[in-house]
Amino acid sequence: MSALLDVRGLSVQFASSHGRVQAVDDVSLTVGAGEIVGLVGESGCGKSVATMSLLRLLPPTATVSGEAWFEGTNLLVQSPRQLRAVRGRKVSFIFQEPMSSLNPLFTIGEQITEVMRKHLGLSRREARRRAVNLLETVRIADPARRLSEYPHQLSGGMCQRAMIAMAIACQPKLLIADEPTTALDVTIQTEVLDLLRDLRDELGMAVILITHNLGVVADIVDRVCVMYAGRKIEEAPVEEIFRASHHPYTRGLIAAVPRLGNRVDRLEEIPGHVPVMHGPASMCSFAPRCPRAADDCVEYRPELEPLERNHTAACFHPYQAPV
Amino acid sequence: MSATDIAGSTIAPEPTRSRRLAFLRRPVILASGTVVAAFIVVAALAPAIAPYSPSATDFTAVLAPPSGRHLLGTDDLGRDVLSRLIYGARASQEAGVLATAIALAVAVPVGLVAGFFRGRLDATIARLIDVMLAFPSLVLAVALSAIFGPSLTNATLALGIAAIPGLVRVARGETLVLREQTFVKAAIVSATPTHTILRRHVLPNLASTLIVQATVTIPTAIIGESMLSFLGLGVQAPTPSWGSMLSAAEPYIASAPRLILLPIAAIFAVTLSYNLLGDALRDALDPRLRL
Repeated sequence: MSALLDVRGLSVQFASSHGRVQAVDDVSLTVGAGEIVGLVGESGCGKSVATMSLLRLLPPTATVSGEAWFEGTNLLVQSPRQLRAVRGRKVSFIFQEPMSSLNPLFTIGEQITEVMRKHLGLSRREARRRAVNLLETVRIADPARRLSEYPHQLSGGMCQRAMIAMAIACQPKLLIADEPTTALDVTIQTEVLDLLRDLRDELGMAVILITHNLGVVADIVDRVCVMYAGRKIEEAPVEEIFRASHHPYTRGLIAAVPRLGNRVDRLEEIPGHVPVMHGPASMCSFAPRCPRAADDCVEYRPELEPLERNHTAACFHPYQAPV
Repeated sequence: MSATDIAGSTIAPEPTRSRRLAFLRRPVILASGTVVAAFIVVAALAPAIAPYSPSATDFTAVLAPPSGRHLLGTDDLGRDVLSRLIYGARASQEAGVLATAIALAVAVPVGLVAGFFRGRLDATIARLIDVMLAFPSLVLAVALSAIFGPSLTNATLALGIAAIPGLVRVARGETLVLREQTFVKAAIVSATPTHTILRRHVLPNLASTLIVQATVTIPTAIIGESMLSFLGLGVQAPTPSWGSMLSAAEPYIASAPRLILLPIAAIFAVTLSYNLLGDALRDALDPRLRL
């Protein structure tokens, strides 16, 4: 599979009044055409910042370094004009809060057609016709009527579908979905995730799915990247992650997913918090919370090493046995 | 809970035009809106409505009490008080609306740009606004019209400038909130040009706040005009204004109190109505209360 997006050595620092904050530290990531990659980690581990930085959507206080090759060009050095041709047209985003992602003063139809008329130069009539099709594609019932409704008349799930419709309106090559299901209830979550997978199958677009919920990725993702404190610490096909993850942090995340049928008094947790990094890590940043930490973990920084085929982890003392 | 209750609470109301305009039927809006509308009509049609010219003197009826000939009596020069009140509405109206328009024309773009682009420009503008807000706006207006020279145009300009900082602060504050909204981020992400984002996504969402703020700025400017005219910095004789009527009536406060009370009643009714209308519009237009 050829890489659609090839990120190499991506680092992001923020200047703040409390000094530098290292949000992303030397992350590399490839996404193949039509592949769904899950980017997993706790809040604040740099998942969103990493993807936002690809399209240079971060505030000016951020310093971004590294390379992000997309269709033969490095996004991180492109001019604003070149970037505008990529944003929304070839790479599009959907966000966590569907209800506030739509402008409350315009109808769904106005907002969907605006994107197509701007990027694809369609006429009003043609854009509207396509918008009806799009709403059908994202499985909104009675699309013609919904087009003339305002966001507050739609449920959260429908708003997220409408957002997805807008995001795929220009048939992007890559869809970045930042916690698209967090604000939705569980049954709707499944429907939206299924929809994303089906859209990938129909349109052949790649998806980066950002989530803190391993349960969410299990169903639809091809490959998982686990991030911790700004670094990528494990990457493997999704079955590998659940069958035999090596990194103690990944194991902790999997253990933290509650399971039906197991009666427990207390849910599994990983003690402690994600540290705030003020520069590139010099040790394993998970060591203070790690059950397997040893002296070398605080002296050196573990690099990503291939442990099996297609499976890398950054750990000096990885688990070897299956989960 | 009965079946109709359930149906009533779960079926979303259809957004018909009558429902959208339903707020117009609220009693406070109806009453204050009527006074404001009457004020606007009276000011616009003053020459047709007023029984006499506002500067026509009738020396046979100086300080005459209300009568069939002069419904609200006459002043110390024998001028018809009703006619002067009606023409005085013009000065108030002009000052109130124009000053607010001037302030909006300056404050909205400034607040929008400062709030949306942030950075050093925003910091400079915000500090400047803080400095201007440190002066009470009416004191600022007095100082400005003293500099510009006494006339209704200059008083209006001064009141407009004095109203700018408050409006900039509102426009900037709302823009700060809106720029963090996901739909603005989504627009940036889909490469919407900045001017389109400001025009389509930020400004329309500001509109209801600005409309409310304008209905509160107009009465402030009306009081300001009366005050400036009272001090001799606004409308010049013989053109009537509620403020100059007050200052002219000062010697007769004991002998003919209506000369003071009538303009005060007019100022009071109009500014109160504008303020009530503003409050009611805020309730009606606040998108957070819309559902």
